[in-house]
Amino acid sequence: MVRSLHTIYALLTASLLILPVYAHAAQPATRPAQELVIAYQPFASPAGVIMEVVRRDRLLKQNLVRQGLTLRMTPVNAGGDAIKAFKRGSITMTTLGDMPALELAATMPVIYCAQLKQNYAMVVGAKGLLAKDLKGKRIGNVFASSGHFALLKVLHSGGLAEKDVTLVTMPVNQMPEALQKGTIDAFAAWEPTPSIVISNAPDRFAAIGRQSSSSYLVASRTFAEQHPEAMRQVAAALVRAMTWLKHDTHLRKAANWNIATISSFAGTAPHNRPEDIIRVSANDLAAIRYSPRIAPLLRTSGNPPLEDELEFLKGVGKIGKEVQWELIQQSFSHDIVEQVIRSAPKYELKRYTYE
Amino acid sequence: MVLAFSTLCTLILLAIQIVQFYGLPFFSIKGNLQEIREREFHVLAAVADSRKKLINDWVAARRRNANAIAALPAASNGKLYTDPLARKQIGAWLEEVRTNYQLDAIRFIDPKTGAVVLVAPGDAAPTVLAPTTIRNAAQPGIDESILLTLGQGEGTSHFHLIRQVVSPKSQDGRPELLLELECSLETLLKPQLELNMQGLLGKTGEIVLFDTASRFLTMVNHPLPDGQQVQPLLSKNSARPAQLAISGSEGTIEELDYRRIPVLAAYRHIQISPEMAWGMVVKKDHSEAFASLQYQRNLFLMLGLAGITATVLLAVLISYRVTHPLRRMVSTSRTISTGDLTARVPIEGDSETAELATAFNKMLDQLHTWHSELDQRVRQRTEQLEQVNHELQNEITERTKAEEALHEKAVQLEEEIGERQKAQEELEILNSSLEQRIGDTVNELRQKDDLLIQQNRMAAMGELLNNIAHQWRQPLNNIAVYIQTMQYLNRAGELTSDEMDRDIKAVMDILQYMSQTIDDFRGFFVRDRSNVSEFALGPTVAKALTIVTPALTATNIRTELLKDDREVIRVTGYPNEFAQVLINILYNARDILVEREIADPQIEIMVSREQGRAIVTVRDNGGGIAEEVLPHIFDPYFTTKGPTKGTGIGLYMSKTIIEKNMGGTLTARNTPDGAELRIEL
Repeated sequence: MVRSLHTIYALLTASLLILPVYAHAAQPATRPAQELVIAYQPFASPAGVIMEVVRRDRLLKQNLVRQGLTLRMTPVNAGGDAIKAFKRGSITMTTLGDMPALELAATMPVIYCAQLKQNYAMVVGAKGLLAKDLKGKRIGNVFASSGHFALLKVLHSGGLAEKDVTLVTMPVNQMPEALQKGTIDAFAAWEPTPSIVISNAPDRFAAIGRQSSSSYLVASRTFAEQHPEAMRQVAAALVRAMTWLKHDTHLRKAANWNIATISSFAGTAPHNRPEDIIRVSANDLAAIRYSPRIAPLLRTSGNPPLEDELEFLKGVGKIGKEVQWELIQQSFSHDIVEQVIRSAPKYELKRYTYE
Repeated sequence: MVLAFSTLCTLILLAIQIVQFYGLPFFSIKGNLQEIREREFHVLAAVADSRKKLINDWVAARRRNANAIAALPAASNGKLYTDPLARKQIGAWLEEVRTNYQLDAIRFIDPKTGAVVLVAPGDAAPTVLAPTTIRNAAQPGIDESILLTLGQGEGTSHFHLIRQVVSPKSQDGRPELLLELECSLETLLKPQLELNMQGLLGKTGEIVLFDTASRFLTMVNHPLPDGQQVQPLLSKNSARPAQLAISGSEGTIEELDYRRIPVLAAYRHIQISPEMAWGMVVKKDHSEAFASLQYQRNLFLMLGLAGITATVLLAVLISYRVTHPLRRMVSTSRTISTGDLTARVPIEGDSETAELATAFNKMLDQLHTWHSELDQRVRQRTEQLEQVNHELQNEITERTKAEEALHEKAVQLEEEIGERQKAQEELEILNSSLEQRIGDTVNELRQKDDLLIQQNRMAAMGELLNNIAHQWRQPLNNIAVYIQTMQYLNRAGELTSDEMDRDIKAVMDILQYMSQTIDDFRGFFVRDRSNVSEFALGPTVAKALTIVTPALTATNIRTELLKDDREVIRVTGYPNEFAQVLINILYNARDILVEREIADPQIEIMVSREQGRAIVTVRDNGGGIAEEVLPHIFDPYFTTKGPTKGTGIGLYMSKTIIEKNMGGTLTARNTPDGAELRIEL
């Protein structure tokens, strides 16, 4: 009897616990779900592996459903493609390197809700090549990207200007092969491509120069204001993903996911091996201490890298001259990740449900 | 010569030397320069990367220190606040840790009050952290804070790592305590950075650290350009490599450092924490980096100078030696040039120069022989020239005389010219009166013409009278016969009235004929210029022939008129004058035939038409006109008949009548038998 009562009590308790979940889960079925589309760049490190983990976060999907949202994540080739999609309204959030993120913030109301990397874009060329030796050389480049900015800084350090070299516009994943075949003399790109090229042929290639580079998860300000909880759920997923990636086996799994996505997206198997991605991503994640918190340094005045990049984008005409640094500063949102970290139990930061 | 030869030798040797001693070293130095630069940059970059890693590792080590200390249960469970024994035990342990890791101080701070709860070493100064800094560091979620301060009294920068100590039971995430690790960068980090660096970077190698505000973080080896010593966290590094590193760039560069001295540098951007970044420059003085090249260059310069000096001396020596026989030859040549052909070059040794001297002397011998022969030939030639000269002198004398004669002639010519000028003047005077004289002469000629015309008329009149006489002689005889017959018959009483009427009628007919004859002749000789008329050519010719027939018959000249009776050829003009022209021509023919006593004299007159023009030709068989006379027969006053028979005006007037008055032509030519005069109208 007692046993039966215990059983009934247990069933009632379970019902009380489960029903709200079903109620939440059933709620979207009664009203049309809004789609949250997050674009990400599989060629970028460590955002490529981070977003592969987020993409598989079942908990995030469940929590978004409770917010009346369905999650769709879509890979893009470069920041420029993401910006176009963002301006069309076909995506809501995207990972962006510092240069395109600045460009977007200057033209649309957005917020930088999380930081995904703090590493270096590099100019890679033949070993022994100095910045001043780049004069007259053909350099692979993605226009107005972090790599482009790094290239200009390197050229400047060698007493050269952009007009002294021949820029060859190409996707970043084609740069290693072009360099090896000699169709370009050097390339400017963001991680992990430069580090992988150098580590694969340390006797042939080296970094001619490096430039500090950061990347962010950027969201529509309108969406963020309408869906603050969804924003926090995404931030929580980022925190979970980065924490989960501290473990080597997890990182390897994520690297394989990343390679699979690149193969599917580019149509060909990438040159990058899992070991390459693991090594570079581990370094990059360590550089931000496995946390998506936006470094206060990045949003303070007098911060040379970002302000320099802003001026650079103005110089190349990507951003209007009238755009002020204050506008960019206002786009940083430190609170979202902080709120999630402070409410760790609520956001289940140590619950890993990757499909 | 020595100078020129020395210069040539010097240039050749210098060219060889330049190629050998400078060309190769130049490329060698250039290659070395590039190689050294690459090597130095490689070393600097490697050092910079290793030092950057060392700094990151050093910071990571401090984090690990902090994490280890913060993990003490006594720290998180609040015992440090309440348990003096725990404080003592942990304080001793902290001191051990501090000593092991060479930290300046380790403090536990109450985040609420900022008070130091525990510190190692025990005599360490209280924290220099500002209350605001402590409050910020104590905010939930801020696990770690890093900041730099200026060490009290020692002028060095101190590194502070603050870590929250959060109780596992904490509901709001607020820290129980703040753990502060403090250390001097100057004493803890800098020695590690510079460890074993002298061997890699040399004497001038240096590692410079600074923050994003360009503030030096550690002491440096040299003062700033203004002479001031660097004060960490107070002095700023404005050198370009530092600015590049601050801006997030990493690379290598050849630039001026904080002293404004050229250096080779590798610059790095070091992210210490999400909130803090440093810059680092690993550099080496340019002069030291390329010192070996400098030595190499100086060595080459010294060797070069010595080589040039040796080359010049060697060139002079060789030139002096090589040109010695040549100079002897030059000296001999100078002697020879003064006229002494007996001079000879001394032959020394058996080298090429000796052969040259021998050849030179042989040449001189030959020259001497040629000179003698030439001298002889010159003398001979001189004599010949003197002879020629003498002849020329004579010729000149003669020419002088001829010139004098010419001069005299010239004088005479001048006189003649004078006279001619005088005559010219007179001629001009005459010319001036010539018009008058011409007028007079023309008048005179006109008078003569009139006279000639008159004479011609008179001659024509004579001819007329002669013709009349000839025409009339037979009728007059007939009249006389009729009259004598009538007289006889009358005397015989046999004159009947009928016979008398018949005879009278016959006489009257004869008289009528004679009267008609007079009219005819008068008609021919009266000028009819006022009556231009169209007339038939054939009858006019026949009538003219009738007039002259008696005269021609009298001289047994046979005439024949040939004309085409099928056509009446008509012309416009003066018929009488045309008849007179024809009569003149016929009389001229008669005169020739008579004069030349032609056996069967004949005159043939032909009237015809050729190509639309009327043609009358008068042809005789009188033997023709002399060729020298033929061009002149139409000239006025030209006659071959002598002054008693001809006036020389007949044919002239005929030509005038035909060509000027009637627009035709009158020409003459010789035929095989005689002459032919041709009238074309």
